[in-house]
Amino acid sequence: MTSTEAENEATDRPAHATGTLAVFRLAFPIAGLLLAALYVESTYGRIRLSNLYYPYFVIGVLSLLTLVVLVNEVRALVSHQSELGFKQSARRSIIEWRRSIGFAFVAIAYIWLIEPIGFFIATAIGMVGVMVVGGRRDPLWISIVTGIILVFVYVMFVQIMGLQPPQGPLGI
Amino acid sequence: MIPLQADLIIEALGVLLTLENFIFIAVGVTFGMLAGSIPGFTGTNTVAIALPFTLPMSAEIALVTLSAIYVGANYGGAIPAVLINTPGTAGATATVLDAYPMSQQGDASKALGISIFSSVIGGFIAALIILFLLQPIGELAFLFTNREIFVLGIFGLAAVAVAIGDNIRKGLVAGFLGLLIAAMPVDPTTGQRRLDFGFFGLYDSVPFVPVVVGLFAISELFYLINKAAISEDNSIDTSYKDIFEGVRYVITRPVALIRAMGIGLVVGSMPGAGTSVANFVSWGAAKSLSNDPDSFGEGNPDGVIASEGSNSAVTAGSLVPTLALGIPGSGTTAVMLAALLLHGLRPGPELMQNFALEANVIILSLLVANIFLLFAALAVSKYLVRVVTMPANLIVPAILALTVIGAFAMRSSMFDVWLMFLFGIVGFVMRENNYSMIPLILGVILGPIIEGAFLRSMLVSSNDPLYFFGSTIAIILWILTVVALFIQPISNVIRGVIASQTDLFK
Repeated sequence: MTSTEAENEATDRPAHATGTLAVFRLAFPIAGLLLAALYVESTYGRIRLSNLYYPYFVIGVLSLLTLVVLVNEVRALVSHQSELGFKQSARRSIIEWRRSIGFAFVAIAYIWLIEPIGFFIATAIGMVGVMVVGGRRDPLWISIVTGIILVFVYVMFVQIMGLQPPQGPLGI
Repeated sequence: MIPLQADLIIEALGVLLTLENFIFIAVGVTFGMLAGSIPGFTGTNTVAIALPFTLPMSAEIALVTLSAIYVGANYGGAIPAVLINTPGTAGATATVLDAYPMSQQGDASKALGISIFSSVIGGFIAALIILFLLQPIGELAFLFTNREIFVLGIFGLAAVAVAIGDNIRKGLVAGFLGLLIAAMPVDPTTGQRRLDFGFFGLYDSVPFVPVVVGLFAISELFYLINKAAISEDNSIDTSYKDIFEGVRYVITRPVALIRAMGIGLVVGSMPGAGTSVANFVSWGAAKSLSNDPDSFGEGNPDGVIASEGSNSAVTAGSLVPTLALGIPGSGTTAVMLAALLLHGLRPGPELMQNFALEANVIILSLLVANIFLLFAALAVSKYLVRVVTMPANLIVPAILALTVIGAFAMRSSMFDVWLMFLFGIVGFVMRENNYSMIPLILGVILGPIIEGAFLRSMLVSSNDPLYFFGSTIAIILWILTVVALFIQPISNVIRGVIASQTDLFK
């Protein structure tokens, strides 16, 4: 049972729309099939067939298993009794997972910023961003934790391991 | 021929008994305990986060450190289980059943003492037993050629997919997807590019550290960020006098402890089974053999011995299939597999042939780590539980920053950081849809080994697929694979038939 389903049962709230569930449940197996299709498209006719026995064996088994999983998922979705429309259901999911979604956006921005502005400045911004998304507002704790982690990373990775993280215009 | 085990043990002791190693064991056990005591943050996540930190270390020190973290994290899970009714790791789930009622009855310190001493003694004796089993395991490994290694890899994936998770098909999908991901870089024989999406980071091989850290650590952050604090229970009262009372209690119950340790060792040695299985089996056995089974679950100290004695023995037991066959006995040993590869040790049967010394060092480090755990746990368990009251919104950004620099550290590549985050999302989606992540990790790690063994076998046999059925070991492994895949459906059918016949006679 997924945590969303568990929450539904626990709180007795209306069931999610079938479409919303389908997007989430079918994403992983479809991504697997897509990767397999891209692999075949990228290698067939270009690489000697005897060298492709192994990956094609893997793809064959993967495709077969994925199709079985997909059929089971679709059957479960067909019997699902939805009590919300797609938009309502999607909105509720977003509200339930708002912090996770916020974390994902901040983390993406943080990783994206590392190269242009440097690792340490990006990390300071990223950590403050994640703390704010997580609901923390007091500047003292935000500063203390950010400072401790930056010092630890500097000592451990830069001084001891000799690592050179990306540096921004300020040279840090 | 590999050297005699006694000689290897002496040589391994020489490698292990250095001040540097003792410091890393001390740091590893303490860090493991600290992280393991955070509910929801598993031993697997802890070892995964620590993995990039071992990069500059020699293989021996790195593996010793990770083993110490493994031991510490395994015990750390018991602390919140005893004090706040929340297991820190899956392996401490059965500990909650009796330890927390003991705490409610005012025996929290005694329960802590029991959990510490059971863990240490169970883990220590189990590691000692495994140490003397390494020699026969090493000799068995000589029988494995490329053909057997290929079939063993397939069996390992099937066994792990079946044993871990509720859904075999989803486990197998994850495992074979892992194999496909591992087959994305260049063709190993011709060097032709296969499917790297134009990313140079995928040209040579799929970097498994970002994959491991992403799947386990980053995916966990998506859940952790939603919690205000890990625990809001601050009503904790412990004393050293009562902790030693618990230690004394364990000394008076040697049979219970040996039984728990034996169960942990056997269950841990089975590929795919882990601490979560072992501690419930052990707790169930202790209850059924007790003169007072009704008191189990109500605060019986023997229940704590059963759970903690077994889950610490799993630590040593699960390293047997990991070292000897390249099949992890638990999620944490799956990450340990990645650690072996990271430090140039090829997991599987060849490990016991070529790296017997390192294998002995790892097991010996468990012995030393358990001794250190005894002192560290007695010293800090009383206070360590405060970790679980720390706000999650301070822990999450710290872990994010450490994992980002950790993923970057391996190849100084931002591609690896993005890959880690991508696999964090993949891990979250998998967890939400009941896909086990361990088969995926196993597929990515074992993929190149399985593919290499397959290609060499095909070369030797002039592309004859029947070659894979040409030896007794290979045939046995194929049969075991089929049994692993069909044992659950067959047992379901048998159970259904028995149930229907029972209904008929009612």
